[in-house]
This record gives sequence, structure tokens and C-alpha cells, in this order.
Amino acid sequence: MIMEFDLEKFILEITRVLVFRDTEDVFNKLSEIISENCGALSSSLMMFEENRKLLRLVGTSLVDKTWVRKLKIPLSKFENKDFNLLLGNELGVLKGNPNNLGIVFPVIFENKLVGALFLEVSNRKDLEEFEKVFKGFQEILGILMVFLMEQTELKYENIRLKLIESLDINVVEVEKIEDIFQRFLERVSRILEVEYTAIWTFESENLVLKAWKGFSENEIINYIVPKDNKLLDMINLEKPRLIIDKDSFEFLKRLLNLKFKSVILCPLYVDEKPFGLIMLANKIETKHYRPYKHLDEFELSMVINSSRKLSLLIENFINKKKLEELIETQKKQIQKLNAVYKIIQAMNYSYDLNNIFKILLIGLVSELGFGFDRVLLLLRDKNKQILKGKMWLGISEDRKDMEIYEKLKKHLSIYGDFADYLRQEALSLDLSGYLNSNLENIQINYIGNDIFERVVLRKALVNVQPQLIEEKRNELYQLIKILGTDSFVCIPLTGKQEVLGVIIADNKYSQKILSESDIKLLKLLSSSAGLVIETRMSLLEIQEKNREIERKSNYYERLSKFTEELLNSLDAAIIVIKTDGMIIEWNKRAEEFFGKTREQVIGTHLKTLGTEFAELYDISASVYYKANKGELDKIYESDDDTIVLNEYFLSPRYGKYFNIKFTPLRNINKNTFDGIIIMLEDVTEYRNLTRELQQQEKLAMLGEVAARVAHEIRNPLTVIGGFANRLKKKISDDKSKHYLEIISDEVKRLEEILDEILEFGKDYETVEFENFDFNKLVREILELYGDKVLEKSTKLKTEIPEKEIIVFGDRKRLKQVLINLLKNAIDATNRGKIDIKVYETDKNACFSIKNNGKPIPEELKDKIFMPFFTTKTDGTGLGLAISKKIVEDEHSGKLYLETGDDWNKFVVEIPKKGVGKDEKEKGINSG
Amino acid sequence: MKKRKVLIVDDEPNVALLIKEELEDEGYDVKICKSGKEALEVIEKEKFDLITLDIEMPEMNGIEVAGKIRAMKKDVKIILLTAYSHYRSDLSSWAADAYVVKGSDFSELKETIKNLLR
Repeated sequence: MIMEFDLEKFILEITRVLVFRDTEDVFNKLSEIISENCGALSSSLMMFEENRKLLRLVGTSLVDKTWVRKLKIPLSKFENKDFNLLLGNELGVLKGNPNNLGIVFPVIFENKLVGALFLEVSNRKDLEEFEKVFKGFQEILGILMVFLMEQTELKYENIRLKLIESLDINVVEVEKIEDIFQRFLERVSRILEVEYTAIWTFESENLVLKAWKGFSENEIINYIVPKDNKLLDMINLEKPRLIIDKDSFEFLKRLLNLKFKSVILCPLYVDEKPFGLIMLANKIETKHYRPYKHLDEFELSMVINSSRKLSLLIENFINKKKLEELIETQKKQIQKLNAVYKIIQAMNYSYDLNNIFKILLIGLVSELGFGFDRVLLLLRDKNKQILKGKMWLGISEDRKDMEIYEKLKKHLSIYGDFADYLRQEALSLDLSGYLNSNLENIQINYIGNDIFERVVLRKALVNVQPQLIEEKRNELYQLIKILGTDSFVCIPLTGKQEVLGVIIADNKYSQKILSESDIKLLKLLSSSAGLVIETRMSLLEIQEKNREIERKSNYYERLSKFTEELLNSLDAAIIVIKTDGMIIEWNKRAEEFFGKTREQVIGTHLKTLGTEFAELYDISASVYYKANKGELDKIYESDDDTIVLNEYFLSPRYGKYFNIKFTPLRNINKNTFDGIIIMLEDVTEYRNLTRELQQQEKLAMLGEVAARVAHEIRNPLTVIGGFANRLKKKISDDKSKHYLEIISDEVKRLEEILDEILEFGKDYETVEFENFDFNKLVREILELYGDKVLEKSTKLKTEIPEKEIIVFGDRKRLKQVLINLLKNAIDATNRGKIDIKVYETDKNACFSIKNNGKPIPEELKDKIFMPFFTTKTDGTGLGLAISKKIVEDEHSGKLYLETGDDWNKFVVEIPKKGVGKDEKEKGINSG
Repeated sequence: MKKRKVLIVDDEPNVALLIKEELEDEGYDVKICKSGKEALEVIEKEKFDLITLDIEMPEMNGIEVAGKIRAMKKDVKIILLTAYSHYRSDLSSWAADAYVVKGSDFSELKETIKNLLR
């Protein structure tokens, strides 16, 4: 009975089926669902295997599942036939009842055949109905089958990956190449489920069975593949071969007593050369939708991959082995290199020449060194041009010599350090055996001797071999006779310049052959040892030289350091120029003075630094010129070759005065001048100080003289004036009275002048300090002199703060100062303007008086404060000098003049706290 | 009224004469000594109302003389005369009663004497 196909129900059931993991079960379940849903008696599913072009039964709803995975129908059976055709007896196994009919539907997905569905039906007439039903779900079936197939493919992919992964054998851990084969076979047979595996490799042109798995030694007929065996032909295959044909196993059966069903043979190439063969035989049957009875294309492809992997492994292993060998030889070389180093080290530690020779010989004989049987030392006599025997050590027929040799050998294990061993053994080395008994007789004339000329004169190491000396045998006859062998090595002991001696080393007894690297190391030893020997030979001389050099270098170092420090610590700037004007020295002070660093100016021409330097250069040049005018001797003897410029104002730029000294830089040996030393000493401050001091001294002296004169004049003047006054009273003649009046007035004027002079010369010990209001003082003066200002039609402008400014000072003396300044201003102004200002700063009380009029010229600014300097026709010229003295000396204030285009301004600054003479001194002392 | 007696001590005879004449014009009885030493001797014997001492004198200066006079416990006014003005500040330590700067104008001296002898 044909049922209505319910797609929804079908899909639902299918999704449940997909829960089953095993592919076989999935296909069986799927078949059951299909037969139930479309009302067929039974249904079976077949999967299309594209590589084999066949359909394989993968599931059925029948109770008998025997044929699942085993039944396969080649696609050719369907060729030229209607696909829906009843297949009758051929698919009889898929029918529950032989009388029933069967239909096959192809399952297509995306225009590709993916499988087929077989339905068992009872009536031929139902065919069309079933076709309709099938069309209803064929699409979903196609998807489903592709999905399940891909899952299977995935499984294979997993196997592939697992195999490749498992073949990552770490060659470092592997000792023998057979271990790699064994591991490889184990993994391949386990993962690909193969019964027998084997590997043959070439061993000196024979193919030999090297590793196997799955059978025992008893089954092996031949390990070595006979030359006529067909297996050898397989080596030349480009691709592995799969053999399934039973008759084709003969050649294998002659090698292994096994039952072959299917065999894969894969040639193994290493480094692109035939290396051997891999064999995989018989599949172990496992539960799967595919019949695992025989090896097929899958395994074949797996073997290709694996064999490549194996090749790589083998290659790696071989490389590893090579590397290990290389490391081993390198190690030996390093050990020997170390031995060379130790020999040289031991030699270096020794001072006795004989000891040094012994160390060298022991080192060459010792196993840790070069292990020579014997070493003979010859020293060169340069005068006689011969090599003379000096020492001989090693194996000999003499018992004493052997004792020495064996003792050395035995002692080797005692010392931890080879250098220690060499030094200690050298000290106790006894050279009284046969070898050393006749050394004087060993003499080689190296001139004319081909081999020894090469060794001694060309410093070559010569490895003498019988074939080499064939023609020169006569030349070496004596030596060969002494040595008893014609193969030995001649090692020159090379110093810095020449060969000092030769070592002849041989392996007469052991017959050991020297390697290339040994010869290289010997060369190294020969030059190093030669140097040590040469050094010791001239030790005393060198030591003395060293000491001298050290002394000299110390001396020069100290001298140069001293000079440098001296130059930099000087207060003077030092510039040294060459005769061509190039600056070669510029000390720290010069950097400070001229704001140019040493780096900037060294190597530049002095003239390029500016006009003032050009001036210096010109003066320098004149010194130099003088020196080269043939007057050298004369100048040289005299002391006047140094030019000195005192208090030289170099340039307004620096505002400094310099004492400049030019000294020629002599080269005593050549009797010439190499350059000029220019020394600039900043004397600005000194100059200012001395000038000030001179000024003060002058003033002090002047004051003193003036006072003395004044005093002496005073009394006569008093008498003249006094009597003139008296006479005036007594005389009645008007004319005479007038004359006396004139005398009296002039005396009065003289007396005033005297007062001023005396005032100036007065010692300020007598000042009387008190606190007073500076503003009030100014106002008092203005009251007194206000009328006088008005007399001259001069405008007076004052600015005096209300607040009192208390000053500690000598009021009377300061009053005198202010009067003085006011008087001066009034005298200097005609119909002009006077500005008076009083103000205070943090420290000072200030008074400024400004009048318009002709400004005092710059050059007179200082002079107006000097005594007896005046621009007025009357007056003593002491007013400003006295004022300055009072303000600055007595009160530590300041009195100065400022000028403008048409005005002069005098400013007085008085410290409010009052700094008298005592405080001033204290300040100086403490400062 | 009995004339007040003034002693002038000065090593400069012309100066002394001038002062003497000026003071005599004012009605004083004036005597002159040429040195401090002489002055001290005179004072021993004779009583004066006022003494003017020139400071700058050889051997014994006016300040010393003043000190010695004070030591004699004589009741006498002393005026120091000088060509210098800078002794003024030390006046307190001196034995003198006044200090006058010499000059051709005697008005200051006359005024001072007048005040002291009032």
C-alpha cells in the first residue's frame, strides 16, 4: 500500500537518526525510516564511490544486514539501461521475499550522483506511485547522503592527520636509524590497520630487510634480497604500487613466508637518491561501511605521504649524525686550542728560560696537548748559522727516558688545570736520560738546507713526509739517522722578527698522522711560544725600557696636566697663537672674558675674532717680525722681547682695561719662534681702585694742606680785619671810611673761604647723629631761601610728602648740603624753573633738585665734585666736594648728578637708619 | 659799677691786643697773658671774672689750661677761642663755659661774654 508521504514527519525522524554516531547504524536507521514513510516493503541505501565508479550498500531496513558494506554494484551495470529498471535477481539479496519486485532510484545532488535508493515493492503497478513519492523526498535524501559522506571523508582526513602527526618522530632521541624504521612501521600499521609492514634499505649495493612488524623472524626467508628478485625493480618505480592480484606475490613469497592478499610497495628516496622500500601488506578487517579486506587507493595515498615523511626523518637523522660528528671533532679542536692556550699561559708564568722550554716540550708530548711521541728542541745560533740541540723529551728505548715519560703521563690526572700541571712538572723534569746525552752532536746547518731554510728563514712549519724528502734525503741524512724516522714535523719558534729555534716532533712509535687542524694549532703555538721565549730572552732589557717609558709617560702626563691646570687657574686670559696667527691655546679665563669657548676658537685665525683681536694680532706680528729680522740672538739674550701694554682699553665692548703681555714662544732647539703667547690681565677693578685711592689721597692731602694754610692765615686775617673795623669807627673821613669798609668786607669774604676750607678738611669724627624729620629740614631751608629764588624770577616747584621721614644723621651737616645744592641751583638758573622733590625708598630718604639750564658736560660730571673746581666766578669750588663728603663719607649715602637736554638734577640719598663711620667699618670687617 | 676783670690768654700778641681793645671798648678791665703757664701764675695772685683761652698755643694748649684752672677751684668763667670750628662737639667734656670761633667780627665774642657775666 502506497502511503501519503509526510515530509515533515520524515525530516523530524531523520534528525533523530543523526544522533547515531556510527555511520553504519545511521544508514540502517535511515532505510527503516524511508520504508516506513513511503510504505515500501523494505528499503536499502547505496553510496556512490567516485574513485571506484561503483555503488556500495551502506544500509538496509532488512533484518539481515550481512550485505551491508560488502555488496557493491559497478556503475557499468547501469550503463545503457533505464536507471529505474527492475534489477531482478542481481539485487535479490536486497529483497525480503524473492517474489517481490525491486526499484532503484538514483540520488542526485547538485547534478552529481551521490548514491541510490532501493525499494522493495509487491506490485509493478505501484512503480509510478513510488516514483512520485521518491521525487518528494529525493532532494532531502541527496543532502543527507552528501552530509554523511562528507562526515566519512572527515574521518579519513582525521586518519591522515593522525598518521602524519604520529610520524613526527624526534630524531634527536633516536640512537639508531633502525629505531626510526621501527617506530614508523608501528605507527603506520596501527593507524592504517595493516597486518604486515617491512622496510628494506640499501647496504653496500644490497637491499636488506631492516625493520618489520606483524611477523616474526621465523617467517623471514631472506634478509638480503637476491639480485634476481623482482623487488629490486620496484626501487625504480616513480610511484608506489598496489598489488592485489594473487599471482603477483611470488617474488615476495620468496622473501617472506606470509600469505599476501593485497600489498603496497613504495620506494623510499632520501636526498633524491634511492634509499630502500616500504611494504604494507593485508588489511586488518574492522567495523566500517567499507570492506577493510584489501588495501586500496586510500592507503596508497597515505603511504606516499608517509614515505616522504620518513625520507625527511632519515635525512634529519643523517644530518644529526653528521652534526654530532662535527661537534665531536670541534670539541677536540677546542680542547687542543685550550691546551695551546694553557701551554702559553704556563710559559708566560715562568721566568726561567729552561723552564719555559720544558713546559713547551711537556705540552707537546702530553695527551692533553698534541700527544707527540717525541719532541726535540733546537736553538738557533745566528752567528754560526746552525741549529743546536737543546732538549729532547719523549718515548725512547732508554729506561730512564721511559720512566720520565711514564711519570709525566701518570701525573696528568693529579692536576685540575693543565697549565698548573705543565708548570709543576717542568720544575721537577729530569732530563738525564739517553735522549739528552748527546744533544751537542745534533747540529744542523740550515743554510743551503732546503727544508730548514724554509723553517728558519721563512718561518714555515714543515711537515716532513717520506715522499716529500725523497730528493733531499741527503740533506737530512744526519737528522733522519738520529731520529730514526723520516716523517716528522719541524715547528719554528717565531719571535717578532725571526726564528729563535725549531722543534722537531715525531710519532715514530705510534705512527699517528697529523690532521690539518693540528697543523694550524701548531702554527699558532709556534708563534705564541716564540714570542714568550723572545720576551723572556730580552726580559731585562724590555723591563728597563718599560720602566723608562712609564717614567716618561708619567712625567709628560703630569707636566701637561700641570700646564693645563696652571693655564686654567690663572686670573689672566691666555691666548697662544702660531706665527701664522692660528689660535692654539685659549684658556678658561679667555672663554670668560671674550665669551667664546675654546672649541670655537682653536684653529681659527686671531684676526677673524674682531677688530680688537686684529689689533692684538698686529702687535703680535710686530713682535714676531722683530724676532725674525735677524735680530734673534740679540733679542734672545735680552729681556725686552716681551711687550707689555698697561691698562689697555681693548674695546668698548668689554668695558675693561687689560694689562697685555706678548711673549714670543721660542723653540730653543731651532732658534726660532713658533708663536706668541698673549696674556691679558683684567685690571679694570684694580685701575678703578687705584684711581679712587689716588683721588682720596689727593683730597686728604689737599684738605690737610688747606687746613694748615687756613689756620696760619686765620690769625693775621683776624688781626687785619679786626683793626680795620676799629679804625673804621675812629675815622671820620668818609672816603677813608669807605676804604676800610672794603677791607673789612674782603677780610670777611676771605674768612668765609677759610671756613669752607676748614670745613672740608674737617675730620668727620666730630659728626653728631640724631633722629630728625627730613621733610621738616627741607621746608626750613625753603623758608630761608624762598625769597632768593623769587629774586631771580625763578619758578619753584616742590613736592614734599606730608608724612614725616625720620632720618638718623647729622642734621646741621645735612642742612649745609641741602643749602649748598639749593644755592647752586639758584645760581645756575635765571628766569628758569627749580623742581624740588622729597621722597623715600625702603632704605633711603631722598632729595632731588632739578633746575633747567645748560647741562653739565659728561666729562665734567666727575670733576664738579672735586675740591676747588667751579664754573662760577665766585665761590671756592668746595661746596659740592664738601657736600659729597658729608653725604657719602659721613652718612654712607649717595650724591650724584643726572643731566638731560636742558636740565641738571642733583640727587641726595641718605640711609634712614643712619650708617655712620662705625657701622661702615663694621660692615667692611664683617664683609 | 666795678669793672669786670677779663684775662686774655693768646700767644699771638696782635690778636691779644685786638681782643683787649675790643673788650675795653665794652667796659671790661682786660689783662693779657702770652702763655698758659703765665696765665696760671697770674690767676694764682689775681681774681678774674672771665678768661678767654686760645686753644692752639705752644707748650700748653687752651684745653689743658682750662682743665688746670678748674682744678684750682677758682670761680671764673672760661671761653675757648679757636680758628677751627670742629672742637665744638666735644665741648661738654671740656672745662670751658663757651666756645667761640675767632674772626674779625667780635660781635659773637662780646655777646657770649655779656651772657656769661650777667
